[in-house]
Amino acid sequence: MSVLINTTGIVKDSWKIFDGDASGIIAADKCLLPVGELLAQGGVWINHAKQVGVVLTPVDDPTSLTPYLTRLTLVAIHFTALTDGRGYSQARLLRQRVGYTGDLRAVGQIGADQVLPLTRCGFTEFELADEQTAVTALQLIKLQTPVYQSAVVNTNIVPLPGIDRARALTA
Amino acid sequence: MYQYDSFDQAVVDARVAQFANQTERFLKGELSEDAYRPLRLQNGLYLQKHAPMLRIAIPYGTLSALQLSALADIASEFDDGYGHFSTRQNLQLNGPRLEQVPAILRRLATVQMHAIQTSGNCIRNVTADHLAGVAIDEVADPRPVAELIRQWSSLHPEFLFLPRKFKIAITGSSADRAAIAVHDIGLGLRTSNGELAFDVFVGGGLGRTPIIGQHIRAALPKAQLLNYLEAILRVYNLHGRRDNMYKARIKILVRELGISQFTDAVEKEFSSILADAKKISAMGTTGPGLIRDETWDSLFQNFPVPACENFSESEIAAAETSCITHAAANPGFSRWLQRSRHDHRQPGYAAISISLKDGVQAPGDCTSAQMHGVASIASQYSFGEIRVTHHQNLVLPYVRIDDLPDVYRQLQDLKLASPNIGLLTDIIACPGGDFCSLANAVSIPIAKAIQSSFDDLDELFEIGPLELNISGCMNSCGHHHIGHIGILGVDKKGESFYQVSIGGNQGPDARLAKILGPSFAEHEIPDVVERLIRCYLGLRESKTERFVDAVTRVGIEPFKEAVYVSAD
Repeated sequence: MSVLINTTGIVKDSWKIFDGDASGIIAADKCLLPVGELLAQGGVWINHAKQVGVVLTPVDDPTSLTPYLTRLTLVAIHFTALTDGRGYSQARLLRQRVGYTGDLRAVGQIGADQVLPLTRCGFTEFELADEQTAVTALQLIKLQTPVYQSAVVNTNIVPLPGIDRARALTA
Repeated sequence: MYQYDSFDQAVVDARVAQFANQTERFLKGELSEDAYRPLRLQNGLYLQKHAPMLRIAIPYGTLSALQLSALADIASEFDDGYGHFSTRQNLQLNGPRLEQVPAILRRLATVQMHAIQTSGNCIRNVTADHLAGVAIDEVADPRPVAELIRQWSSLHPEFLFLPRKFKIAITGSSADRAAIAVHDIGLGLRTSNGELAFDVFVGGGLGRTPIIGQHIRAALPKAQLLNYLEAILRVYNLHGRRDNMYKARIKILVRELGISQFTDAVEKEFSSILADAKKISAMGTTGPGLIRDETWDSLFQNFPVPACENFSESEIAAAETSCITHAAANPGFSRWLQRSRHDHRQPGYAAISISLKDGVQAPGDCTSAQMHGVASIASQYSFGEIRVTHHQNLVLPYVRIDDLPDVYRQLQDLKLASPNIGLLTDIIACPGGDFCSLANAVSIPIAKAIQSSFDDLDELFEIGPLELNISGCMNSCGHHHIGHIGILGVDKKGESFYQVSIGGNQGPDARLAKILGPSFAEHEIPDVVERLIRCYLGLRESKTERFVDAVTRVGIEPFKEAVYVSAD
């Protein structure tokens, strides 16, 4: 049974996944749609459901979500393999180019050790395989890990070597 | 050379702790083999045939004497007392125990070293000209650029799971001693309107589909370097093939899209990144922004020129004369000087190559005692600095001309004074089937067999400059595609054979070698090389026409004939 966490702890997943059968989804639900469904029927869903989210697969273009930006409260990015890193770029594009500010969830093949780099690319939620993995991930997030890059989070550290670093270190 | 600040040290220390934790969880069974594999690979650790192999990064091939001594100690304490310098300026240990790797990394961190991203499908150790900072033909020193890229690429969260490995090389000189044309990204430092700028090449690489890199950008302003690299990497990360690992390198993407469509995609991403950067700074934070002139200046200041003596012309003349007199009385020294001495930017100094190809040890191998010895010579004669070359040799970058006889004597004592730099026996070879689990065939015994059949120095000097490269499989770690003579181990129904190609070249005139014909059995290789050499000596126009020049002029046919026809 998969376990959902954010950066502080285990959280309950209140989203319903639309898998082609709308019969079980009522207006009060939070609906998670495949990107094709959002692009085709987005208006209908936005009027029907309480909240709408979308799942991106590795080949989906995050900039296609721009028209729905203000109405999406969750974007989930699906990792088909632990070693398929397209989702990291998709996340950065979503945060830094599209300007999406809602929850960003990593789903699929991710492990505890990927949570830190995922966080740095802008993810806020992580669906992990089991409770043990979730517990390990939460321990790893707590470690203060210094990093060189100003990715999506901690954009305000100045990592370039030399004068900028010297100033940052003495500040 | 660059010294870590407290931040660099903290990054490396944190990585050591992280890796120790990952290894502990793996050994306890909490982390599966599949989950651990990419993590250990991102830290240079392979689980090989006989034992793990740990690849230690030597960023842009620059080492201090202290670091080389530490490597020597690590090799004797955790391995069999030697290390292997690779074609990517790294050092490989072929026999540490998995449980000991965290301790090795801890030791490395105390001398500002690591094994971060020396393997795995991520941005690998950045390589550069081994004569950086001392070469007379240099536009600018590539090391500060390489250090900037080292830091930018280390644990970059977006690019840890690329479709395949990614190698960047930098040269500051038009002579290109870093082979930038056969890297995923090659950077050439240029000046444009008096400002430092970059010529960018993309999509080069060896492996089973060798391709010469293509020019994608001229005069990239230095301020935008990281933004441009990010654009290339992002296009590759999103669009590179992931369905077939043999087609996953960026060179295949560039080839499939065509350079013009690939360039359009990169330029579009690049403009968007520059626009994003503005947007992000408008949000009040410092994003992946431009590199200011001030930052560049301080980066270059991190690589100060050592306090060389400013010799007068007469002092230099006297040193040269004494060197010549010494050489006249000592033919061994004379030969060594001819091959190992390189021109130096500082009058009165030379850069000295140390051959790791004595024909006894495997190419690129160096014992702990030799490493300690070189470290001590470097401390005494070369401002404590050593370089590692992609030819698997070492360099002492700052030796006074009047010290050359002493340096030679001391290297002789270490059995490191082979006068064969750039000659046929200066063979580049991967570890091959003796160590590597990817290999189809052995490399080291082939190298040794060739070296022992060409043990006459007069003959070697007569043959002149020649690069011979051996790879034990088509992953091409021995760079056989760009050897003047390239030898590739292939597997045919469980038996090892060797395919021979000629006419490859690296540097500004990079070319891929052409395959001569059907492959040979292991024992035939020395004879095949002999035949190629005899053919070359018979048809060269003069002594200054190198083997590779002769192949370029006459084509491979006469060589083919020499090898196959008369062999019957």
